[in-house]
Amino acid sequence: MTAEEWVRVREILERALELAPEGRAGYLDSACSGDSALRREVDSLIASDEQASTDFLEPGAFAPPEAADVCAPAESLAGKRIGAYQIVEEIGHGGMGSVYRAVRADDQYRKQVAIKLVRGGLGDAFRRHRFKAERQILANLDHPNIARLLDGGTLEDGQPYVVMEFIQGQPIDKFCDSRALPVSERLRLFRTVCSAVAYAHQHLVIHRDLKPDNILVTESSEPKLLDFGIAKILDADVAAGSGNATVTVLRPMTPEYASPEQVRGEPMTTASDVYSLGVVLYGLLTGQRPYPGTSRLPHEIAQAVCEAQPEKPSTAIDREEARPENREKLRRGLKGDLDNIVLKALRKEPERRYASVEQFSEDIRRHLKGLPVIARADTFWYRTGKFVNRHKASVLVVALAVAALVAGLVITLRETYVARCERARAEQRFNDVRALANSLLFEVHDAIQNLPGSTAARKLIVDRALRYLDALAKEAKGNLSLQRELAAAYQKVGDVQGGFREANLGDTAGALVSYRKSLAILEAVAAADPANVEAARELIRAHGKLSDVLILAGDRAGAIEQSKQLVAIAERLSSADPGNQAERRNLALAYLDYGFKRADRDQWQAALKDCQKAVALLESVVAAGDKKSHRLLALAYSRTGDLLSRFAHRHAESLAMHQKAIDLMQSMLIEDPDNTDLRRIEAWEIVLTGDEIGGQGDATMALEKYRDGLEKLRGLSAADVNDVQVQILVAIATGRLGSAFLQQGNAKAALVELENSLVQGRRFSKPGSANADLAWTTALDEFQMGQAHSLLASDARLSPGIRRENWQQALECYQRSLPDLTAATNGIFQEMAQTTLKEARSDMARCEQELSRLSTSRR
Amino acid sequence: MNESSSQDVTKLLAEWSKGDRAALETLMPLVYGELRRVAGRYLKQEKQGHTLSPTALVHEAYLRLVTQKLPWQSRAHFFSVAAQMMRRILVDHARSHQYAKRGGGAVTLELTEAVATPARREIDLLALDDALESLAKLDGRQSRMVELRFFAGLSIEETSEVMGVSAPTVKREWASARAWLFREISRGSVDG
Repeated sequence: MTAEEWVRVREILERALELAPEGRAGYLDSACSGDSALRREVDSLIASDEQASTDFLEPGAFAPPEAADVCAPAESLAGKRIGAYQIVEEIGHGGMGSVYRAVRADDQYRKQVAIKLVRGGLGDAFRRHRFKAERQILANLDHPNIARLLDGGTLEDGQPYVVMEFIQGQPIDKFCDSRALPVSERLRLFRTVCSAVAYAHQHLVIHRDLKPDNILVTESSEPKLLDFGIAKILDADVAAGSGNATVTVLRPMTPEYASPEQVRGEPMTTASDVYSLGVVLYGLLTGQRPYPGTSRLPHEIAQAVCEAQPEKPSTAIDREEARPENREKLRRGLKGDLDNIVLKALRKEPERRYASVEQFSEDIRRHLKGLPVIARADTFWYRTGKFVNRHKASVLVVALAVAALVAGLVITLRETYVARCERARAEQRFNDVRALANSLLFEVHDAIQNLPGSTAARKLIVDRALRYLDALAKEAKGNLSLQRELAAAYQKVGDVQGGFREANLGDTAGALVSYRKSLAILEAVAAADPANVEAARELIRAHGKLSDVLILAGDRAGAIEQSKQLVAIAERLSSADPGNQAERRNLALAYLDYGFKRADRDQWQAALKDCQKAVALLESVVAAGDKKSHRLLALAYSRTGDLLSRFAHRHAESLAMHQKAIDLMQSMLIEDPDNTDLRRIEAWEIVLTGDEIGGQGDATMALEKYRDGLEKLRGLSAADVNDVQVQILVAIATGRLGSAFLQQGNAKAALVELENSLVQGRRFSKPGSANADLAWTTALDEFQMGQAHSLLASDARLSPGIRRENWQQALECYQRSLPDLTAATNGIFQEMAQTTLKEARSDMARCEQELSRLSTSRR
Repeated sequence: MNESSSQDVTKLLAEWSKGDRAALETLMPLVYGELRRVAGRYLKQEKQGHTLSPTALVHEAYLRLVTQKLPWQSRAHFFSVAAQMMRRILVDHARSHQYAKRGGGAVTLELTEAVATPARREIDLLALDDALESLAKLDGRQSRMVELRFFAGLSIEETSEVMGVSAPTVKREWASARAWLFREISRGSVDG
């Protein structure tokens, strides 16, 4: 396409994309009038637009707030009436809802109020009752520094609102800075704030969201606290406890001011307000946040709040650039008492903070008067982080916090989408939720995926995302791309529950259910949109995952059936587009999977055909110039060889296959000598030729091959000590070397290598680990160590004591191998495992016999 | 990042915003270095299966380099530089690891991974880079737009300010660029 052509295509395409899908055809008919090439081009691009998922190339969901605010839709409630009030304008919006300036319509003085529309419905009578009761408590708060709650109720559609005193003022931090107040003035102002909070605490109301934006200071220097206990009203919904996804279980919060217990989702007390006040005071004194170097990514803030020690205010001012001229003076003012006071308020453990806001305020007063304060510097014991280590926020905690932070945006979907009928806004919200759910699934989840101990947190995150998507999907049944996202979500849930390839909860049954759900959704999507190639590929993936887990579940027949279906789809895709190399490659992969699953005594010949088909396809793909498929072709050779060897003992043919793989890799390595991946495959295939040579009876030559392959693998392992895969291969190959020694009758050398292999292998075989080769290796290592000890014990030249000891050790090795061998009877090494298990049992009987014989003869 | 260089960046950005081209010369290596560092840390983890979010990287670099709030004008400048650099860093990285990334498993173990086509969010950076090159030949502005949106995570409005075109135009051209790129990338994977 030339640039000129693109201009034409683009203009029509852009117009068409702005139209609703049903209106496009008509427009295109006239715009492309008669130019069929142009029309095809535009149609293909529109199809591509529809296939692209919503987040294709979209910037991440964690863009900084400023960026998000720019896009926030303007509210159009101006002029509307709520109760006795008439809305004038929107003055703010945030996680909990929107705030409007309004006037009392029937009031001749036109008294101004602020109305907060709280997102989220109130559902049943119980919640309405709770809401009313809470409002009553708040309405009773009567303090000059607390904005009064005047009224409240629900709109016709059930959305709750509260009416508050309208305060004209500046957030406390901006107020102090704009007037360049000295420290002592700031402290006095802050003490007034404390008195208001203390008053509320006496009335058993916790603020829960103290931050400068909620502490306005009027022209006459009067601080006024906003939103007292509003968060609690939302909690009333939570307390009613319903699993309804439309009401969030997680409360929005402001991460920078939230206390550790709030971040963790633990119960909040007055001490939580003390902490938030501490952060506010920190900001007033230093212009900084307590945790330096923390980004604004929510999970990093949450982690810092739970784990990091706050910097002393007197050193934090170095980060402040606004007031460099009197920094030294400032530092001296902060050092000592004020450092201690602020840090005491910010302690991680609520019980080590000030016991009350009054005490906090009193200490500030004492400081102002030059009296000794009760706050002391943290002892060394605490500073060294003993506490923090003891209470280190678990990954789960951080994950919870992240989920809580994003929840603010997710609160209403149903209400907004259905009841409010403001289409543009509802769509915006809908897309927000969708983006968030996907962000949870693909960013938050993936970010913690490899952290140790994160599995439970992953489950939580994935579940949550799934709920959001599920709720959305109910609203938009016909939305196929959303259905596909939902299917992807179920797949992730399945992965976490019991995926084949990753750390998981070991819940194979649960994984099966999730994968089946995903499959069902994708089947429906594919039925509704048979031409959608992308959906068909996803269907292949779904069958593949289900098939893998069925193997884990011991249902090989089921696994084979799934793999068969996967092949059918891949065949259909490829025959629909025969020249398409990628589809041919995918088809080859499908055959390899099918062959892999069918590799057993009864079906190995069919499996061999699958692998040979894969080889043929891949050879043609590679011949067509696709460099990416070389390694896959090597794999196909290797698998073909494996089948020939394992089930037909056709070692010479198998050897030829592995040699082809080696040759292929070596030819690639000429061009790309630093490619460790190719080197790894080469090394591994050399190890496999050792198997075949050994199978032909040449144990000495086999040993050589193992040594050669192993040496190459060790070189790779030394070059990148973090490469777990290569270390696993080293463990596996070492086991092979041990077996070869054993076969030669060299029991001592065998024991050394087998034990090496076992120790290395154990490092990487975790419970629930899906690495079947490794599990099989360690099982065999134990078994063969038993054999090696038996061999030693059978040596009549040795003393009875040593022989006895070896029989004993052989018995123990066999015993240890039993669980692993038994586990392997479910997997791809089923047959060998069953044979070996039998052997182990009869060898054990022999050990016991020999042991009892030796002990009788001794007597 | 120590305080003095943070001030440097802030100052340089301000000077550059005022039209001082020399400031840009000094600024580039600083920003590039920091981006490399931040990206490097993530890329290390990427090996273990992390999904990269270029947006998060650029913003992290920004927060580290510039500790105070800057006027939008300066931020816009920063992001427009950072977008190009981020693209270069990520693409270089992807190129140097293109085999390693696809493999990762022991030969005998990788089949299931290979059957599973890549998850939706994992964009093939190399393919995207190639596609962006081609798009640049058709329409340089659109290619740059994608760079700003994808590699620096700018919103439609921010992109419009950086590029000096109206937001509706960005929105429209972004939509067509997206469709075109998606087709190009899927074709690429189809052919190869």
